[in-house]
Amino acid sequence: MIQKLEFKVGLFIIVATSLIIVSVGYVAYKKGVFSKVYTYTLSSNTAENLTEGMPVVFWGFNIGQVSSMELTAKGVLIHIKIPERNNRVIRANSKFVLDKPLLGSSRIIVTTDNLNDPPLSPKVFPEITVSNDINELIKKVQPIAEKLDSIGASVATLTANLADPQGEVTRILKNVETVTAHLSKKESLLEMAVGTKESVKSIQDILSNVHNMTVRMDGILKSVDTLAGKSDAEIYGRDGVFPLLRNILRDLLTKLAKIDIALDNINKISVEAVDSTKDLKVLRNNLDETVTAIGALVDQLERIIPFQDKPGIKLP
Amino acid sequence: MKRVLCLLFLFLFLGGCSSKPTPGWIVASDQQLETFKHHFLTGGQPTVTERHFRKALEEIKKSGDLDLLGKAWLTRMALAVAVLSEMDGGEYGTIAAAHPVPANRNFYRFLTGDPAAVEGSLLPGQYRSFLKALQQGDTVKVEEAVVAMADDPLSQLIAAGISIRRHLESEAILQAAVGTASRNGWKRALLVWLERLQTFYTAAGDAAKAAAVRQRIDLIGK
Repeated sequence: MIQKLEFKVGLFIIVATSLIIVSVGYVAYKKGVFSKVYTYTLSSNTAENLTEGMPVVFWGFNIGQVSSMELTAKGVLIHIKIPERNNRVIRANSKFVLDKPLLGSSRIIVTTDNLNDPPLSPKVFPEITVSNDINELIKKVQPIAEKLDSIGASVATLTANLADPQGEVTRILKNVETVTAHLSKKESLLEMAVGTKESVKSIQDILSNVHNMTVRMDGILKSVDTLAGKSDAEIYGRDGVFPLLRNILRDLLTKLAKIDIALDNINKISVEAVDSTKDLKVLRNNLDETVTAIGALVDQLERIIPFQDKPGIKLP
Repeated sequence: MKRVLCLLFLFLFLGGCSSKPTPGWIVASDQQLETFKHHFLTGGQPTVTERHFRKALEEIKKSGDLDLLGKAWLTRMALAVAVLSEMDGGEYGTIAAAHPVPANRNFYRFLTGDPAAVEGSLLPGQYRSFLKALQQGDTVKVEEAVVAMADDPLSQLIAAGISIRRHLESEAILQAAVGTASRNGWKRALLVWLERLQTFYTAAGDAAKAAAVRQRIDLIGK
């Protein structure tokens, strides 16, 4: 009876132990412990950012890891271990890139263009190339920074043009003031009313000036619009400098258009030698309004635009 | 006929009104050089200050204009004079040898050499009365000329620096330089000139004034 019991216990232990061994063996088999592991050697001129145990990744899957590294006279040799089941992706044309992401740990990424290529010979030591996300980011940011720089330079050019005593805006304003001052002279208006040849020529000249000014002002507005399209909201936003300037210039255009109409009228009057008292009064009012508006405009421009000397390097 | 004449007049007027926009490199180099001056005088980070100067040179080099390149280096030398430090001519010598510009050479002599060899008519206008006084070697006239340059603060500091280099030091010159640096917020220049003023008072045996200046330096130097 006792012998029978001992036999059963012994059998139980043997079966249990066998089951444990089989289970462990099965798990180990499934984990590839018994499968063949291929070792490849990569080369690099530095071991920076490389560590033992670093994953080797192919298409986002871990296919192996860095097993060891050694320093040689020609650089650093990195040994990677790839299990047999993943070995098919390591081909002669495979490229090995050390990827240093902006966040997270580094890894070696394997890229293989053609999986049908012959396998990589263990005697060949492919070189690891480095992909640095931070550097890549800087490379991407650099053109943007350059673009911003060029926008800044354009803004400065435009500002310089506005600030230039010989520049377009100042010249236009001076022209307008000259024209209005000329027209507001009593003698000149009387001459125009009389309709002499000189006065007709004078009016034509003035009209030419006004048309010219309008064309040039439109050009400036277009430039401002183009620039505003490229710039950021902070500078060119609803309350930014350039929308303000644009509004001011548009206001000036409206005022110039008024003078234009009035001058057309006078032109007719002078040619037809008709009584012009009423029109002259309207013109005079328009001119006064324009002169006041331009004065205010100049003040506004000076307040809004950071006027500076015309750029140019001079001795200090 | 009248219309043709009007049209002709309009074209002439349009032609007269045309003006060329300032090239980008001029604007950029000018901005960079101005920023360099500001950083230099206020005591900005040396690497940043230097970067602006290099950037200004790069912009000028885009045009290949050796006159402006020389002027940029002369500006740097003049700034060194303004803060009483050693001048670094850098590439100026090579540039001047390759492309001599009388005005630049004259300004270089003004900064470094004998005032008697400097041609007043080739100097920027603001220095002329100062140069005259300097050539006479009269300290009183020199200090009057320096004080009178208040409208052009950087030129005033440069003139004051040249006076010191010519051993024409006086309280009025030092005070003028301190006042100018202070008004413009040029901290580096201010500290340098205050140190010089303190040394001047110490050498003159005016311990109270020297101590007051020292206190000012200690308070703003922190």
